Amino acid sequence: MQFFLEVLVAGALSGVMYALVAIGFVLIYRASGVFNFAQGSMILFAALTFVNLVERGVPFWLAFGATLLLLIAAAFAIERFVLRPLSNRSVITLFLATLGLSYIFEGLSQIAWGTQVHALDLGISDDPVSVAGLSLSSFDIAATAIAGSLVVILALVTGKTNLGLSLRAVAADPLAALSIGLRLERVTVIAWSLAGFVALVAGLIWGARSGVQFSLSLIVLKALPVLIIGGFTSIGGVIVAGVLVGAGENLAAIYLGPTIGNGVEGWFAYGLALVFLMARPTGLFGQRTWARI
Amino acid sequence: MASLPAPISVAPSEPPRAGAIVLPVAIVAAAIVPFAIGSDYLFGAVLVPILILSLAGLGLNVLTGYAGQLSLGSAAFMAIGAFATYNIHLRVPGFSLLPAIVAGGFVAAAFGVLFGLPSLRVKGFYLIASTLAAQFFVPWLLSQYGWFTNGSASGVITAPPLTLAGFDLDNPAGRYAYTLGIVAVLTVLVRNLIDSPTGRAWMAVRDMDLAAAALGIPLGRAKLLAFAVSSFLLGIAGSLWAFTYLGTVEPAGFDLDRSFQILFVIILGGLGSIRGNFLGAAFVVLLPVALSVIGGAIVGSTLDPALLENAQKIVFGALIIFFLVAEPDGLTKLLGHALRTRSSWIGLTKPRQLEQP
Amino acid sequence: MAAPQTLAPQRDDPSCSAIALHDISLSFGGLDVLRDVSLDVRRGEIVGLIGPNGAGKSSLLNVMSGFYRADRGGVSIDGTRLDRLRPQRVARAGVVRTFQNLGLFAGMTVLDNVLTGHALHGKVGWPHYLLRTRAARTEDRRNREAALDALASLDLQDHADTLVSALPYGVQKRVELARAKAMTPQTLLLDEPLAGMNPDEKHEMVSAIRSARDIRGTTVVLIEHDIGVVLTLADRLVVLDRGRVIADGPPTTVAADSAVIAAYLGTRH
Repeated sequence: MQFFLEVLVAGALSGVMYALVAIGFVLIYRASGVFNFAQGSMILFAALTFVNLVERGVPFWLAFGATLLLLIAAAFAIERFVLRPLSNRSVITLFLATLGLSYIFEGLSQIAWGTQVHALDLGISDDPVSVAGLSLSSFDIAATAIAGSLVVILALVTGKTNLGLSLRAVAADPLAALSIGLRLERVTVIAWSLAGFVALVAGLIWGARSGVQFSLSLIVLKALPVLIIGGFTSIGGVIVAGVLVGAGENLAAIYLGPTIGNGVEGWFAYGLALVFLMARPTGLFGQRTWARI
Repeated sequence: MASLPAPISVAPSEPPRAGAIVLPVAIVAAAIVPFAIGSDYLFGAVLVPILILSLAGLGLNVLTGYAGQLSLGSAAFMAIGAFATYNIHLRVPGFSLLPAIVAGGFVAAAFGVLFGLPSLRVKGFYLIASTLAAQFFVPWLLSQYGWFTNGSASGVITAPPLTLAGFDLDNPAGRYAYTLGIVAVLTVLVRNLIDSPTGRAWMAVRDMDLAAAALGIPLGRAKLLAFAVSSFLLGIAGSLWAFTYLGTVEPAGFDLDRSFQILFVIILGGLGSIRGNFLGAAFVVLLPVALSVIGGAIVGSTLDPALLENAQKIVFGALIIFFLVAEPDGLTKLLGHALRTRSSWIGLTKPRQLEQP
Repeated sequence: MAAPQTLAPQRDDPSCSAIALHDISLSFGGLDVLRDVSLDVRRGEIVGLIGPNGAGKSSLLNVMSGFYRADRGGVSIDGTRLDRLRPQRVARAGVVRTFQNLGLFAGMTVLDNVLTGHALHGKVGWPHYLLRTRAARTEDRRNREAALDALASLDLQDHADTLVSALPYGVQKRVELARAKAMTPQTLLLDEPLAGMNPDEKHEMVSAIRSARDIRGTTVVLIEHDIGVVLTLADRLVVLDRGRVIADGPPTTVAADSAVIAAYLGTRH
C-alpha cells in the first residue's frame, strides 16, 4: 500500500509538470483559438538558449531575461508573419502552420546551440524526503511548488485583470472585440509571450530534471492528452487532468508494464484520453455548447 | 455572411473529366520514360520512394483532404500493412506476395475503422488524440511481441525476394515496375471513387457536415469508409515501403516523423487533389537531395549531417507556412498556373481569368 | 383541426398533413425557446413563418428537420409520427431544408453541390463506382442530366463548373435552392431564402419557389423577413412571438391582427 501511494504521488507530481506544459497551450488557445503544436519546440528553444548562455558565463537572471526577450521577439514575428496572414482560416490550417513553426524552432535551436545534451543545475537538490510517511523526491516537490505558484499567478492574471478580460473577449468573438477597440495583434502577441514565459519555466524545470536535450520538444506529445482530458480552455481542468495522467501513467508503468510489456507509458495517456473523449467529448470542465444553425 | 470558409482549404480538385486524359498519359509516361534513361540509383533511391510516398499521400488525402478528418497517425497504418503482409505471406499457405499485400491493406483498413470510431463523436483536434493513439500504440505492440517479427531479436524483418508470375523482379528496375503497377491501379480506382457519390459525400462532410446531414448523407458511415479506404492505401504503401523499397523493415521506421512526412506531402502537394500527392512526394524526396548538393557546393565539402538535417527542418517548416499562407492549394495549383500560362503562349488555350477568391 | 396522426396518409388528398408539430417545447439552458407550438402544414401549402428576431422561427425549423430535439412534443411527417427524429431520416422522408447562412459545400463546384443532393436516391453502390461499371456510368449520366436541368431552372447552367465560394451571395442562395429542388422533395423548409438579395433576384427566387409548388405540388415552409414578399407568396401565415404561435391564418387576416402588429411594433402586453 505504501509503495502504491508512493507511485501514485510521484506520478501525480510529474503530472503537474505536464500541466505546466499544457497551460502554455491553453493561454494561446484562449486568446487566438490556435492549437499550438510548437509549444514543445518552444520549450526546447528556451531551455537550450538559457543553458548555453549560462554555460558562457551569463548570470542566471540575465540569461533568463535575455531568453524571455528572444521569446517575446518570436511572438511578434509569429503574429506578424504567420498568424496575421492566416486570420480567418480554418483551425486545422492554423494547427498545421504551428507544426511548421515547431520544425523551424527545432532546426534553429539545434543549428544555433548544437545537439549535445546539457546538464542544468538550478540549485534544487534531488534527495529522497519523507512526507507523511511516503518517500518522495525533493526535486519533484520543489518543481511542483514552482509550477503550482506559476499556475496560480497565471490564473489570477488571466482571470481578474483587464488583460485577462481582453484575452477572453478576443477568443469569444474577435469581431466584437475589434469593434470595442481591442487590438487583436497586441492581445495575440501578449498571449504568445506569456506562453513563451511558461515554456521557459517548463524548459528549466524539465531540463534540470532530465537534461536539456532534443526530447524536451516531445513533451508536447504528453501535454496533448492532458489537454483533451482537461478541455482546451480551462486552466483548472488542465491541472486536474495533468495530475490524473501523471498518476495513471506511473501506475500503469509499474503495475501493467510487467504483464503486458514495457513502455506502456508511451501510449497510456492516449488510451486514457480516448476513454475520456468518448465519455465526455468536451473535456472534464468544458462547456456544452449549442450549435447555431 | 457571404463567405463560406471551408474547414480545410482545399484545391478546387482538378475537374475529373480533364484528369481522365492526364492520368493515363502520366501512367504511360511513367512506364516508359525511366526505362529509357534509368539508372539503378534513379529507380531504387528516387522513383520507388516517390511512388510509395505518393500512394501514402493519396491515402492521407482521402481522409484529410477529401473527408476533412485530420490524422497524425498515417505511419501506424503503414506499419500495420507491412507487418500484416509479412505475417500473411509467412504463415498462410498459398499467399504469394501480391495477394498478401492486398490482404495487408484490408487488415490496415480494419484498424483504420477501429481508430476512426471516435470520429463519430468528436471533431477537429480532438480527433488527433485517436490517430496519435494509433501512432504510439501500434509500433509499441509490434515491437513488444516477437510473433509479429517472427522472433527476430532486433525487431527487423527481412523481405522475401520479389517475383511476380515467375518473373524475377528483384532488381531496382523490377522493383520500380512492380511498385508502379500497384500505385497506378490504386490511383485510378481512387480517382473513380472521388468522382462518385462517395467522394462527394466525403467533401460534403468536410465542407459542412450539418448540410450534409440535411441532404440525408449518413455522416458516420461516410467518415468510417474514408478511414477504411485511407488506411487500406496507407497499409499497401507500408507493405511496398518494406518489400520494394527498403527490403527490410522495423516498427521504428514507421514513427511520428514518417506520419509528419506524409502530412507534408499533402500540404505541399495540395489537399483535396490527386495529382498533388505525386508532386508533393517528389518534392519531399528530392528537396533533401537538392539541399545537400547546394549546401555542399557552397561549403565546398560534404556538409555535417546534423547541420543538414536541421537545415532541412527549417526549410520544411518555412515551406509549410509559406504554402499555407500563399498557396493553400499546393504545388498542384502552381503547376496548373504554369501549364495554363505555357499553353496560352503557344496559343492552345485562352488565358483564363483568375477566379476571385 | 383533425388529429393528423390518426389519418392514413393518402398521397392525393390535398388536405392530408405534410408535416405537423404537436405541442413542441424547447429550451436551451433554462431559456424557453419554443412553448407548446402546434402546427399542421397541409400538402401543397406555402406557409410563411414570421415573427420578430428571437421569436424561435429558426429553432422551429431546426426541430422540424431533426437538428434540434424538442424537450416535449412530437413531429409527424406524412401523417406518421416519428420519434427520435434525425436529419438524415427527415431527408429520407422527403423533407429538405436550406440554411439561413447557406448550407453549400464551399470547396466543391456548383454542379457537384447539386449532384451531392442526389446521394439520397442513389441505388448503385460504391463498389460499382470504384470499378466504373455500366450501372454506375448510367446512373452518373442520369444524375448529371437531372442536376443540369435543376441548374437551368434557376438560370445557373453557366456556373456549373464554378467553385461555389467564388460566386456572389445571391447566386449562392439560388444554388442552394437548386440543390434542394434537385432532390425532388415533398416538403421544402426554407430559412430566409431571400435574405441579402436585390429585388430582381428576389423576384426570380419567388417564382422558383412558386413553380416548385405549382408544378410538383411541393409543400413549402419558409421563414422570411420581407413581409411584402411573404404576403404575396404564402397561402398561410404563422406568426411566432417569444416561442409561441400568436396567429395562424390567411395572410390578409393575420396581417390585420392586432396581436401581430403589437409584436412587430414591440408593444408588450
